[in-house]
Amino acid sequence: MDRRNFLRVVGATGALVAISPSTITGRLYASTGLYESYEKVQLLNAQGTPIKLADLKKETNYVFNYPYVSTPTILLDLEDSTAKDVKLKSDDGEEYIWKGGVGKERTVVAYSAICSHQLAHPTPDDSFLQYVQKDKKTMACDHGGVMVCSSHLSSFEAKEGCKNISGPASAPLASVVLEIADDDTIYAVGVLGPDKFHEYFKAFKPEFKKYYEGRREAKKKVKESATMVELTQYTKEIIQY
Amino acid sequence: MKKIITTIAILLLSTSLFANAEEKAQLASDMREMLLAVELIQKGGFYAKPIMMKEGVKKLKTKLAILESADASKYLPDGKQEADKFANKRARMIEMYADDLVLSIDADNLDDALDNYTQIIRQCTSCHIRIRSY
Repeated sequence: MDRRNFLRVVGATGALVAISPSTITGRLYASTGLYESYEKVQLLNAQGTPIKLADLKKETNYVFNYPYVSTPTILLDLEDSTAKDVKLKSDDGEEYIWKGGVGKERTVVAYSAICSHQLAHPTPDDSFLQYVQKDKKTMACDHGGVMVCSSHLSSFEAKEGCKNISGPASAPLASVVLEIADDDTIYAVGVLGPDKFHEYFKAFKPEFKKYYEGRREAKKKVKESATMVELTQYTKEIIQY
Repeated sequence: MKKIITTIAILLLSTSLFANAEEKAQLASDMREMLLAVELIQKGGFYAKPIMMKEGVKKLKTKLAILESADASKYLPDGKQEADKFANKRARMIEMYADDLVLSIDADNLDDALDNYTQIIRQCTSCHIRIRSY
């Protein structure tokens, strides 16, 4: 390529990006598969001790806030192995691959507990969103083993990346990516899928005042460690239809 | 004896049906009043009249208090009574946004006040989506 052609290519690319910056960001987004890495955070119990995989009870809703101090995540140790490399689609049609659970049997998963439909989420007062055990049925879904949002009765397949399977939700729940250290302790490292953090921070300003002393505090990122408790300890009332 | 028991049963049934119908009629009336209150908030927002917005909030909260103190399962339509806790939560959320709307006006932040108004509408529609099965 001669100098003139090189300048033409550079100029045309520059102009394209200036007109539409999303040309570049869109490519990056697609190549990373809707993944965003956040602080690497170790999960601790209420006493401040690191939680190990072996400590987890099967099919129990555990909650910790991640990646922000106000955004709840539900962690589960499912009874069965999860699916592998599940192809999922965000509500704007972008595809991404959910790799599966972690642990020896690939049973441990974590999902952002903010409903992709209308942002229902566990609060210290109540929770309309939680995992429903395999042997239970709800109005939202004819089988268990699913995350259910009892606000508008959406359900999400827990062993398949929380793919939306019934109800008005048109996207999966975003998943929180976990890493397991050699000593079996658990870390959260990022978020994969269509997270709803932007809408969440916009919608619940008065709630943040009540629970976190305001939106600015609520938007702080979790650093180093997060306390994980059972949902029954996190919230006063679990509502499930 | 049979006649007396039948008469009492019919009386009890009709009284309870009447009470139920009365509660539902009252709910419909309260809902219309709340709609007017919400319209007043919107009008105040459009004409940049904070006092009008506050007046709307006041009217809305008066009716909300009645709604919150009632047993939602009694006035929800047939087949939707199970959504009582959901309906109560929406009412509490509306109250929360309404209170914050007034705080935003007092802080001279009309943008935030209008955001709160949007969220009030969102709570209303959220409940109607569930109850009316849109």
